[in-house]
Amino acid sequence: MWIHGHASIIGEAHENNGILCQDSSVSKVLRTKKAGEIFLAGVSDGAGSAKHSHVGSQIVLDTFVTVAKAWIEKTADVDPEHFFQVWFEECRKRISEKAEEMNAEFRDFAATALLVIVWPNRAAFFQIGDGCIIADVFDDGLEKDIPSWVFWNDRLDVEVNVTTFVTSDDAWSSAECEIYPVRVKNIALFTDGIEHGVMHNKTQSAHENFFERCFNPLKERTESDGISAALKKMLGSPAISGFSDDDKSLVLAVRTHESAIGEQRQQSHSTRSKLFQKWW
Amino acid sequence: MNDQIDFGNFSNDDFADNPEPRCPCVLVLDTSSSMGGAPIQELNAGLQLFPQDVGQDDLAAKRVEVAIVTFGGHVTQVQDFTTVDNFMGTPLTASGGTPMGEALELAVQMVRDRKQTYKDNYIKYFRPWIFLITDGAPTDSIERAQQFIPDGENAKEFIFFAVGVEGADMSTLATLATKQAPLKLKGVNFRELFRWLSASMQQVSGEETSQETRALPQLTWAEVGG
Repeated sequence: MWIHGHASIIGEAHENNGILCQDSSVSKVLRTKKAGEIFLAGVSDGAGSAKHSHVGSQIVLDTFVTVAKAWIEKTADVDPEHFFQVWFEECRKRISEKAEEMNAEFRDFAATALLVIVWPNRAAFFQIGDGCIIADVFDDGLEKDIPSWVFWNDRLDVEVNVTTFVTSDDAWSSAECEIYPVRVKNIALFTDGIEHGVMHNKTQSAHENFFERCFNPLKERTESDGISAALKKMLGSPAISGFSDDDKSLVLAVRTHESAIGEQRQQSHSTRSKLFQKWW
Repeated sequence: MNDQIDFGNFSNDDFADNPEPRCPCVLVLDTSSSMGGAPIQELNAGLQLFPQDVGQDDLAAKRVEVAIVTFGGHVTQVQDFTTVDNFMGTPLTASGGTPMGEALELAVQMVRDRKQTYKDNYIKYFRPWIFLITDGAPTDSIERAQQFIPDGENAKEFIFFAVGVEGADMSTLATLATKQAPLKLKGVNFRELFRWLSASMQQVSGEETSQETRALPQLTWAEVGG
């Protein structure tokens, strides 16, 4: 069972300039007969310089959920790489249509995309642009409390505020996609608005204290009600809002201990791939 | 139904202690003999105001780093990159010719070196600014600068601004400043120019908008169409 929530809040710079919150976020559990619970999560950061990027970020995530639902209803055995290709094309098509409808430019809808699909025994991670995904996995006999994986936070060689968007010409060629045969335990996705305070530049690792403070209250829950509201409150607190004047988004999710034990019994050791061992 | 969830109050230990991203700016200042008298006095006055203005903005004070290169007779690195609290502000004097080409070569090299220092120390940075102020025509060759300044801007290495004071060869400046047209200073209004530069640096270092589309503060110190 997943306990999860998501929130996006407006940054001070946008508030002062009368601009809407350009970030969007989503977290959702799909229950399937064949594949069990499938967890979807995404965050999207609309470009500050693009006038309709708040619409763009929403299209990015709406398309993600719609396409994922359609695929998962059709077959439990989704090929994630193919899925992300279909999502990408559909997302850009919808943005084109919206641009035409609003008499705007395609690039006016510029937004990043950080997307995750978690099956009971595997997970797919996808990213265009900045922001970060961190995840921790169940490993037989080794339950780490600290997120042990960090995806694609290696962008120190580029300047602040320069990134790729789903609308960029090089969006697909610069996209990152990883699929692992693992059972994810905890996961967090966030936009660059909070990155400065929760990731270590030097080690490119997640700050343990912050994520322990985030994940621990979720582990005590038996349902997800109220988590998104609490996350919104947390992101808006002076301590967090002081990280930057940018919009901020955060998705948090934990798989509960009871379901972990149940799934662990069914889990075969042989599912760990060589690729995964390299990361571990 | 669960009780209300509360993530509680976070303390400093709960957050990563990363260095602030930096916002570097090199001032490339003409101190040739023609700048003598009122222009150099006003330039010095403006330079005094700049760190004070930036220092009033807490975030900009941590992030803005300024370096100074002068060209008057010879090229000198008067100030390496520093945050405004360490800004020396030694008064400049005017003498000699106008070796602008050599000064721009030094400025670009300083920007490249600084970016490497940031990377080596895991510090993020905003796109550097190179800000040229001159009242004359170059007395050395700027042929190379006419290549590497536009090339550097196109490669998004830095943003280049050129400001001409009364007597400046604006058409020559236009061959360097190809992205942002060169601006002509009203009289010797250096104070207002540096106030604008301070406001711009505060804006750049604090916002998350792409620099290519950002609207900078109004140019009250520049001549219209200059």
